Amino acid sequence: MNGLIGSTDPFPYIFAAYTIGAICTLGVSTWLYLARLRVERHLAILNGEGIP
Amino acid sequence: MTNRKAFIPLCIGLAAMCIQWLLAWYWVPVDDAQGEVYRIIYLHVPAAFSAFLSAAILLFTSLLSLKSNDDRWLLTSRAATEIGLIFTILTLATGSIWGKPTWGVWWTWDARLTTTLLLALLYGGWILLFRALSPGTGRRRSCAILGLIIALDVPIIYKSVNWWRTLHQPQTILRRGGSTMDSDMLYVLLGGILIMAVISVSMILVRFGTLSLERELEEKSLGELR
Repeated sequence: MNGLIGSTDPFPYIFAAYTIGAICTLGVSTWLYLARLRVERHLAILNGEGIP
Repeated sequence: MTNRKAFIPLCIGLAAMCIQWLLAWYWVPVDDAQGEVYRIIYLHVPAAFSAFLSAAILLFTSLLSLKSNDDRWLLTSRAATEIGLIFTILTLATGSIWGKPTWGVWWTWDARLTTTLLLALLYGGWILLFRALSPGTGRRRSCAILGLIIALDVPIIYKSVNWWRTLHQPQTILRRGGSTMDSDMLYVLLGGILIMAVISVSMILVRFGTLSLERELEEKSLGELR
């Protein structure tokens, strides 16, 4: 292994990586939930069941 | 009320991921060569495996899409492509963040990195192709062929560190003679790969369900107009 190992503080990099990971997984999960909710509401309205 | 049962495996996966991350930060020992920064691999490697798993699902659904006229395989391909793209971007982002303190650069045109970038571009291209073509046999076939090309890129990515002289480290988990990792490190990493696989497959299934409902909605809307 070459490069700058040991010469820089690793914690900002670890923090940045895991923050992106959390935003990505939780963000996509929220988007999936909201997309499902939107479609199910439209279908319910179209079927005359009202807003669920 | 939305069908919450479909989200249960995803929620379990996310909860397990939090525990795996805590183990990766506080429990596993520090790496001798890389120091603390190596802890990024507990996110980077599972994300990469999930991107590959999405491509494997895409290969399977593309073959079925070529064989049958059932549009459900195309919708599954779309779900796998969207989730695959997200995990490929996450792999590239975390790899880049790891690369800066380790290699001294955010990006280099290394074989592993370039072929992974190609995977992200191909996933994006699949989505553009799907949206550009009108529904029918042409779209189904074109998307299936591109799906097969995407799946072909995965073994190239995997073997790139053996085929070319690269900056990226060689295979450490699935290698001849067994893994070189400490057992504590290895178990947390393998657990992370399994958990991220559960998350990605759950996401694909949920997305497929939503896409199927969207199609049903479109058909009903068109029926009402007629």
